Amino acid sequence: MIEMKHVHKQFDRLQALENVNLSIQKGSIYGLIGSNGAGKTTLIKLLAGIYRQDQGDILVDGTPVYENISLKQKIFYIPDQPFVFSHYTTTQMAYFYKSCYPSWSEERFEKLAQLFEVHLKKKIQTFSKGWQRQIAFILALSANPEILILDEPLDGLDPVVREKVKNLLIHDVAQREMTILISSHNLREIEDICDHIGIIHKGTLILEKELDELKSDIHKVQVAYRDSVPNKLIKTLKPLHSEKRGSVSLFIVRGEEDLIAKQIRETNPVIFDLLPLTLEEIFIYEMGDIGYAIKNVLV
Amino acid sequence: MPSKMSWFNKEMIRHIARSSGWISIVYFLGLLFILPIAMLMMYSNEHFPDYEGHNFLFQLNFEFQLGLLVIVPVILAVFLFRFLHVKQASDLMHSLPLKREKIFHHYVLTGMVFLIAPVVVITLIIMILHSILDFGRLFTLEDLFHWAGTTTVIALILYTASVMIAMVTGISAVHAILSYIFLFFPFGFVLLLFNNLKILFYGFPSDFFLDQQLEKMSPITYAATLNGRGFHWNDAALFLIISVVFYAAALLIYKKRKVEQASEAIAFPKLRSVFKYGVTFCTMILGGTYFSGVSDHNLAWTIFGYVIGTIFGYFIAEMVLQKTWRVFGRVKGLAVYAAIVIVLVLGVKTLGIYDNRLPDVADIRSVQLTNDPRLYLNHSEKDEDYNRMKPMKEKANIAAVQRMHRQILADRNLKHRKHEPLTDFYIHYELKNGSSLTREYSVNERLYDDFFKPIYESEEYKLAAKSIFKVKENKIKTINISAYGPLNKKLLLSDPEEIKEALSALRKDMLAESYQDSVYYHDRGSMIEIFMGDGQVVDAGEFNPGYHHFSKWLKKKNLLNRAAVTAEDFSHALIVKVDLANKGDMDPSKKELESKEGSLVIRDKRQMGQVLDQASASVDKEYKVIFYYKIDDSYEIMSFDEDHAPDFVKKHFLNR
Repeated sequence: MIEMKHVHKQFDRLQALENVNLSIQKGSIYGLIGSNGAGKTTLIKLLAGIYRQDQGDILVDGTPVYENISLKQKIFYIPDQPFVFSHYTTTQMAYFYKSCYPSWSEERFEKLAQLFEVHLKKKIQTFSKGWQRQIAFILALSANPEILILDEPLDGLDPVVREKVKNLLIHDVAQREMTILISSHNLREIEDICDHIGIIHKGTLILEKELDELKSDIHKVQVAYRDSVPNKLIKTLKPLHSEKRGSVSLFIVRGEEDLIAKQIRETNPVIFDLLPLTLEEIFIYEMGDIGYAIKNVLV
Repeated sequence: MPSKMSWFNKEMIRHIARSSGWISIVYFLGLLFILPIAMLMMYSNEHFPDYEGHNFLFQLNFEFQLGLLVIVPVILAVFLFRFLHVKQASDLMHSLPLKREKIFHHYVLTGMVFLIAPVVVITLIIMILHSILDFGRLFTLEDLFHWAGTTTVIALILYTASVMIAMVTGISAVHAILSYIFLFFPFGFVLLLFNNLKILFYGFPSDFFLDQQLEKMSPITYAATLNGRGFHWNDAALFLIISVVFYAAALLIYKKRKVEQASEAIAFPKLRSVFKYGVTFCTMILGGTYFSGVSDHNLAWTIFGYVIGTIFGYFIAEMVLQKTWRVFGRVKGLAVYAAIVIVLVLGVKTLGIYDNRLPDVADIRSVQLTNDPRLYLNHSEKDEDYNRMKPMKEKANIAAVQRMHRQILADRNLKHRKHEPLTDFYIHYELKNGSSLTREYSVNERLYDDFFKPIYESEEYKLAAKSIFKVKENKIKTINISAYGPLNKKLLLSDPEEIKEALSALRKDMLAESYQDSVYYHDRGSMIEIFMGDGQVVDAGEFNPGYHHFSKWLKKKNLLNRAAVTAEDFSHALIVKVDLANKGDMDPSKKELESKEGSLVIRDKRQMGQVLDQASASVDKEYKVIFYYKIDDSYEIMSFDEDHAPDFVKKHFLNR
């Protein structure tokens, strides 16, 4: 269980994070979404124990992270641009991590290296960016961390590798109850693996939700009537959003699917469709004005 | 399973070795060429210098040794702590489950091993050379350990200082530069500050303060003088203690340091203004000192120097902090700084508390007046300091010194001509209320002859100032009297009875000496040195022609000819009278004098003796005399004035 309580962080005169509250359940995959400069990396580095907050608490299982070695031995952080010591090969880097992480598994490392077909004796910095990222994943997963913190991890990976990595992550979460914090400036990139989403904007966490809950709770309704839409219906549905395209009306409605369908059928529409929303649409409708302001983040 | 992880992390040390180990290797190779290989070359050429002393190992290629010693520790610290200054490396290192203490100790201690290992290996190599080849004449094994110890101690203090600086900054280049600034800082800053206080305050005794082994204030200047002098163990202990302090301070700062400050010039925001105004202040006083020096203390140029220094320093500091050169819009801080400095300086100058302070005679307990800045302080490591002037307590002398001081203050705006000979006077009062006052003035001594005369001629002054009255007769080993001039005459008195008589005669002469004579005969005659039993050499002044008691005693002992140049040493002498109003005649050459008409040649021993006893070494006298030695075509030019001219000389020139 990861918690951030009233966390503030300032860089010289720039307020990077303001009163951030966040909690991540064990074994969940938490997606942190935000535009560039929103504070994602700052939040992540605070969680990884690299930065120290100015105010507030950052706790993992109830204890602070900063300079807490036994805790940090369970956390692995992969930065947005993977970095290794210069002239180090994958094997050398593995030795180094092995000396730092007691949970390191040599067996796992060899397996993963085989799976990704990595040349272990080649200097890591001579690999392409995509390969360096894969090696970072191999090293991270070999350390068997309980918490994996990933800053924009899927950038620069081709679709095949991307799937491979996602599967591995999900596998570890399922098997060992690993907790993952994953950040992205693109909701679509991570919506298929996350079960929780937090949206950060200008240093504050503006929304934190469980995805399933979100998806089951909100619907897109398309209806058409011979005459006009009955007023009674609009009153009962209380749509978050409505628009009209020719004779077809479109509503975004909150509530239980069956109940909504029943209520609409009672009014005998000519056309009736009940569609799921994309995550992106959900956020835009959920957040109203702010949603539109950060629309580009969600795409 | 944290208990399984040992404190000692082999992989981390391996990483440190991979990134910075090459410096150790380069250091080793450098020392190898500078010392053992150079020694082998000497051996194979059979070119052994005649060397006695304990410093051979430092003197061998000292410039290169010094270069390595000053550069290697700082470069090593720069490369070791590069990870703090590169954002990504810093993030990686601090995301790992490693406590900062652990990271710090691993890095700093591994670095120390890198620094010391080459010295140890070189020491072993030299030991082997020493045992199989014939180097015993040049140095002993003790000298070798001394060399190794000194080199290590200095390398350690430079290294730990640079490690501490690494924690304060976030840019490697700034780290290197700041390290050297920091290491030079105590020396340079004190030097600059005192020189500037001298400009600001009339009479500030900067030389008095600056004369106190300033080179010890910086390990770099200390290292630079290593070939010339021994290294004391208490210095080594002090350096080691400071190294430990630096080490501890570095760790403390590291723990407080924020990782996000990588790539900032100064990693602590609060330190930035200290840095900015510190740099501004230092360049300001540097500019002032430089322009004051090159313009010969011209006030306008000095102020120009201060202004230029301030502007330069301020903008350079801003450039470093902002990491851009386009900082010229940020002048607010500069304006505030300038305003504060101007107000402070004007305030201090108008109040003139320092400049005009002159204690009342009634408040003074004792006073010292001397030309030598060292003379106040007893910093001689020996027990007795014969050169130090003792305080004078007599009312008359206190009043006379205070009167002279008052006159110097009154003359403060007097313009000195160019090339006017200036003498430094140091005045030190102990006041009855327990405080003291020290002032230093650079003045033309001749202007204060009337003030100084009664002081000089007082018995108390002579007993207080002249070392000959302070030596204890029974502790003297020998008295050496060496005559000035080309003959290298030397008399050595070692018989206790003779020493006693000579000392008593000299003391009588010195007590009787008038101020005029001391000025007139300055630099004439023979130098007196007293060698004490404990090895100290005391400069006991000069035996000049005015010292009748002593010359009588020497004559009686038939030693005069060995202690002083006498008429017997000359074949003849040539006397010329010159016109002092004519500038060219002030200090003429031998040729010029010989070509003058109306000169007087004397060959009579008695006459030559008479002239020799009346001659002064200074050039501003109207009669010039060339003494021609009997040997070697040597000669000496002296001069004397109308008052000292013998009658036969006056008679000769009367008719011209």
